[in-house]
Amino acid sequence: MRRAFSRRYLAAWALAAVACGVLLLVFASPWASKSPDGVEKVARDSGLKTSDNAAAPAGGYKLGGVKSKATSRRLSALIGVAVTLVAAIGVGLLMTGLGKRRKGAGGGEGPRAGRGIEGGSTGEA
Amino acid sequence: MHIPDGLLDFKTWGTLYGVSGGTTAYALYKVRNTLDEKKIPLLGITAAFIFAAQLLNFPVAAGVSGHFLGAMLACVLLGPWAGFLVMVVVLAIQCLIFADGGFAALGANIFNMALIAGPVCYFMFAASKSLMNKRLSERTSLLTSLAFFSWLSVVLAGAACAVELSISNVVKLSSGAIFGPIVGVNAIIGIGEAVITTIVVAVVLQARPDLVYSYSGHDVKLPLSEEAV
Repeated sequence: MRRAFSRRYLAAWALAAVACGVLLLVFASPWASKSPDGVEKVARDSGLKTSDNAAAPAGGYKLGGVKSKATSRRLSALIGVAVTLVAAIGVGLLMTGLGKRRKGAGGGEGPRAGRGIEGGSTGEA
Repeated sequence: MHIPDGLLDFKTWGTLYGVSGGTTAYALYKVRNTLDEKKIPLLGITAAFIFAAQLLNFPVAAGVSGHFLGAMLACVLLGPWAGFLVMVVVLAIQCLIFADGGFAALGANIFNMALIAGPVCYFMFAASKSLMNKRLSERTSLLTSLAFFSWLSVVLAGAACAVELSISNVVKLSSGAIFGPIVGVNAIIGIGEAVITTIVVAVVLQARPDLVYSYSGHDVKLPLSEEAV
């Protein structure tokens, strides 16, 4: 019982930490340094033409249709964090699902095995 | 440290796509056999944290900025291969959705920031930790090794980046003009990296040591009641 309680306590704590982080990010992201990093500086000094992924929907953390640069960056930050969270959890689910199906072949796990991995499994592995 | 397109030549980015692709396949294979289902939320939160932290560039020197990398953090919390995959997810999303880092250079960026700064530095960290652990407590060995190797991870990732730019004949610069800014700047960024990584892991060790992959907890004497379980 003690363990269940501490887990719930930790979940609340983690959620609060994530909420604080997201708030901080939303407020701070427009003020992040706009100076180039080491690689970008070398690229600029070299005078070579560099290009970004033109097909990216929100290139340079700018959203089409949002006028304010700061708002655009804040929204990009939120969207990016959400997409990353979902994608990483998706990779995790996919991986444990695959592992389970393997073990499931030896019996035991039954109906739970291979849950939610159809379609994606061949593409990833 | 994200390399844009137009700097690396084909042989460089092509080779690194191959290496990064192969390593990703290997990591997926390793993780698929070993990842604990309970670690999935931590996987998501770590990736989201790293994405968020990488957005906040801070000024390093006049006219140059840098940001947190997070590869060692991910590896110590989740293990080297799950940590590598977390970095791949972050880098792929940065590249594909936000055009941070070039598409042709994605393989090189994964090589530098996920593989060199991740598992390569992680295994050196693990060796250092187990050497120190002969004399010191596991907690002290872990945090001390982590501080040094998270600093080194940023420096080595920067050095790898500089090597790639140098061997790409596209850039006609003396190596000094490449190594100075990139490795020098990263040696400063690495200090921030070491401070953040060590503090985060120290806090997690305090609250939930079971969530730290590279902490076995063998040297901790549990109270009798819990030891019996």
